[in-house]
Amino acid sequence: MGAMGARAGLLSQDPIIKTLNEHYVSVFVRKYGHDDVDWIGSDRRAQVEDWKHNGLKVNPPPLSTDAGVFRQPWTTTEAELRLYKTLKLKELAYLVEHPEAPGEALVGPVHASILSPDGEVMDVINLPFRGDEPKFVYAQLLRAVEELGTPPGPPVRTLLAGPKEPLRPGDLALRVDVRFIADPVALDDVIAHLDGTAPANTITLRMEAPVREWIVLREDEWRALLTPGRAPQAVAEKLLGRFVPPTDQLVMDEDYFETMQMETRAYARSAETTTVQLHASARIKHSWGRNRDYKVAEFQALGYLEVDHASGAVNSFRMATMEGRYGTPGHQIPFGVAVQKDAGEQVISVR
Amino acid sequence: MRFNLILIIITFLALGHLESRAPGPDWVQSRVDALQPTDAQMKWSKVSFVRSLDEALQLARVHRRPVFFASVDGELDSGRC
Repeated sequence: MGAMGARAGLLSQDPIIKTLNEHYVSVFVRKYGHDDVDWIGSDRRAQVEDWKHNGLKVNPPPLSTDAGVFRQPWTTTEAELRLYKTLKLKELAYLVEHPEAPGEALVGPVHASILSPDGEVMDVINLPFRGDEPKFVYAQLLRAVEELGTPPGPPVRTLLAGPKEPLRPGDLALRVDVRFIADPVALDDVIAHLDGTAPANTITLRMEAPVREWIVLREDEWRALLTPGRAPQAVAEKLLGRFVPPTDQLVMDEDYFETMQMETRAYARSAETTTVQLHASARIKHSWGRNRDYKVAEFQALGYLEVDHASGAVNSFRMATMEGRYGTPGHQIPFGVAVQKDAGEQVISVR
Repeated sequence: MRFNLILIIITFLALGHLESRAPGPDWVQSRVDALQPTDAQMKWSKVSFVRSLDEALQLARVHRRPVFFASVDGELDSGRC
């Protein structure tokens, strides 16, 4: 189960939200579960070899540990490694036979554990198979609470959403919302072959959860947009690089954009404010995640940036796709992206 | 030469006209509003989280609570898998 599934499934259930908030300390970390080398999947290995053969970049060198091999070492802390090692030694989350592929083991860090207040493993939830069955997870959560006799109380801490980097004076934090225009969208996801010709290796995902991210433009970056003409390449890439459908995590390669342009035009000027119009378009091949295929995201976007003369600050920034399409010729799904100055309506931030 | 100059002026005026026909800020704002996630889609954000397993273990000891540790495939906050 991925983050999208967790958000739309388990974490949208009132009893689970209530139980976690009143009785637990909750933490979520991200993993590329299926890309970890310990996942014994011949199709995935073939895909990685295909990537290499075609000159596509594969994620940075993996981290080899006693608890397995991790493709994203920067996301794995010592405490997590200790936990994964414990789980592996106890054969809890790490050795589960794949129900659809007898003889293959689904192993790796994609799972949920319930730990005692002293850090001992009390229970394990096999997210790939049980994550879409909230009643089982709810029962496991309650069982641990009853066993410990944990009384209900207020949440111990709530994180706020927002940019992952600290803001400096003059920074412009932008909130980016991405979604398919008509959801849920059935999206064929080729999991093994680059050419997508192997039906057996095609799964259909239903994309229901939107994506929300943040971009921070430094003061010199957003001020550069006030000058009519072609926008600086770095600023345009920073902004438009997020204009991709709500699918994979973003990993931007050097050849991320096939085409990209962004232009600023003077729109309005008064004694108090200056407003510029932003025109952008791009064609981005599907290289932003692990599922590299021949799909392409294309869009045209329009935006407005208004600056207050007296304060020198940004009054408003809004930008949206006029048209966005993702897929292969003849099989394109419309998607939309909205960018606006972050109004401080913050929710959560986890790494 | 004179024809070219007139052509340039006409082109410039035409482009200016087209530019002015681009939807205005209100249209863009309405588009931004329409693309926002629904409350139901953001329900997950009501769950209280801490930033790391280390922090969770520390708070669990202090508050004598169990830890719900989930390592999921993707980014929970953005929703990208």
